[in-house]
Amino acid sequence: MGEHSTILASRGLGKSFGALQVNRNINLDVRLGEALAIIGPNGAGKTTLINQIAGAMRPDEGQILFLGQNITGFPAYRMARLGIGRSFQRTTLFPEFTVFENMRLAAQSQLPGWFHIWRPASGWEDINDAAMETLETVGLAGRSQLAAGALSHGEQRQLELGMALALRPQLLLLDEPMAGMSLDESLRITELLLKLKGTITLVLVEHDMDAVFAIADRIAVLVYGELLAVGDPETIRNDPAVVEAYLGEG
Amino acid sequence: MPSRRILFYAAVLAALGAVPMAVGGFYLEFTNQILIFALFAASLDLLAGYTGLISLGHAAFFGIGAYATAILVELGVVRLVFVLPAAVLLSALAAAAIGALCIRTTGVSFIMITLALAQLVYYVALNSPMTGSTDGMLMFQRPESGLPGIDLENNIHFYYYSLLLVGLSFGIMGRLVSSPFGRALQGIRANEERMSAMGYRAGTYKLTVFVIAGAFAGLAGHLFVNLQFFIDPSSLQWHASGQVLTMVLMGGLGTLSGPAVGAALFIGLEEVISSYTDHWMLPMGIILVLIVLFARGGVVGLWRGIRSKGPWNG
Ligand SMILES: Nc1ncnc2c1ncn2[C@@H]1O[C@H](COP(=O)(O)OP(=O)(O)OP(=O)(O)O)[C@@H](O)[C@H]1O
Ligand SMILES: [Mg+2]
Repeated sequence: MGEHSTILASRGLGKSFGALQVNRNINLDVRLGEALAIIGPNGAGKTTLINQIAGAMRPDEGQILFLGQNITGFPAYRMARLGIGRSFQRTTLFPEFTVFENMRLAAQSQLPGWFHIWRPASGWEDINDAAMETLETVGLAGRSQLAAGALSHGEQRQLELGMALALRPQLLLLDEPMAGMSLDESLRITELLLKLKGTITLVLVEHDMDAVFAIADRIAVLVYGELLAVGDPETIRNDPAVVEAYLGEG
Repeated sequence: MPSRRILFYAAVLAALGAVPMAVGGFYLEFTNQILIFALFAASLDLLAGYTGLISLGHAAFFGIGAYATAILVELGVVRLVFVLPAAVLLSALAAAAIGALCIRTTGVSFIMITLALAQLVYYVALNSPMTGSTDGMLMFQRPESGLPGIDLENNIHFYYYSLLLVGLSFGIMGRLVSSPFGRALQGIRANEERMSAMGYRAGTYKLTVFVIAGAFAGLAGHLFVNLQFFIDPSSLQWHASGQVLTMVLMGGLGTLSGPAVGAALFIGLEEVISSYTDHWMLPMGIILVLIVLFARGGVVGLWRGIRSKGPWNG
């Protein structure tokens, strides 16, 4: 299909909670290396879509293909190992662990094998270095010894993003990374995502339209569980249906 | 500082090593019993404290280690090189089977299913002709070490045999909890959803630690039956599981020194209180409630709190 290769595709994806159909017949292609933003009103089903791609929820209908492989219904850990990283809309950290230990656990997931018991965790220099490097990337190096739960909200969001980055994913799913951040903080994250752009494929769910239009190569609009439109930012900005359903309100 | 820690543990080990030179008879046996229950409680803490798996069936593996030892000796398999690995292995196998069923559940269901499956093991011990049913089994001899000059029938030799195995076990468990594997367990306890999203297969980790904990409990059971020359089904009943969980809670969840302190405290208090009254469970219960209310991290948590910033500062 043209000059773009597809890293992720959903085919007729559907998900309901009881009588409420939250995702309906979603056919979405994510192109390798692009930054695709998914926008839409509250409750449109964006997080539900991300959860299915990340394996946290099983689709009721349809398929998910990753690099051509059918991965529908794989559990979350397999998605992560395939190279699909995700951050959570509701911050999901280890609040009692230090910031460093949070990041170290993320970096440790990159170790081949899993039954490493003889050397203390602190003795794995590569992992420590990778953790520290990612902390620097998200601007938290100076906070590494604090308990994660003691960070400010914005800092916790930075850590949330960093822990997804530390998995070195091919495809990074970000669910409202800027939610609740100060202007400064969200500008910093925008900058960071712009730097990442091109090195990995980004799927960005975000309500902050400045960030979306700064980062996205293409935008998908989800309304009432259905894909209303997919296109480049200019087209989406001027699409009357999109303006009416979502962009008009803000 | 790790070096100070190691010094501390070396001092504890040296003190324990000196016990047979200071006391014998009842007090030696008493110390030996504390060692065994320290190991049993620490093995449970790998599950309850480190992984967040509150098991109410851990005594089943202790019991299997004990019965395996007694049955083998009764069948004439008296050489320690067979008896010891067999006891540990059988407990580990039982833990693998039971764990495979339990780890699919979480929270209260996990507690209930560990309880139910352990009761199943209890009924087997109660009704099998091999185990002497309610009467239990007497051991007429301890296994033979096969080493010149080491006779486990000698209580001092047996004490050092226990100390060696318990010390080694604590060393291994200490390694385990600070290793990448151990850190992942703690991550699963704190936030399983995030661990899965990072590529950790939580079920594999849980089953593995369940088996490891079962093996150490079996080792404790092996030592216990050798110390007492006796085992009966009450040692693997649910109240035995509750008792070892109490030791962990008293000493402090999520530490290895906690369960050891908890075991010493529990067994010591039981001894003291029961010399005054048969109803030792009531005062013990009150003490436990006080500890849980006023020292959420158990005795060890309280101690660490006092040393850093005062016990009630979170
Ligand atoms: N686990 C669940 N059980 C039941 N209903 C759910 C569940 N998760 C989401 N929903 C419902 O599904 C709908 C879509 O939720 P979702 O979180 O996917 O929306 P969203 O587009 O991410 O919204 P927001 O922009 O507010 O984050 C909402 O009505 C929500 O209440
Ligand atoms: Mg959402």
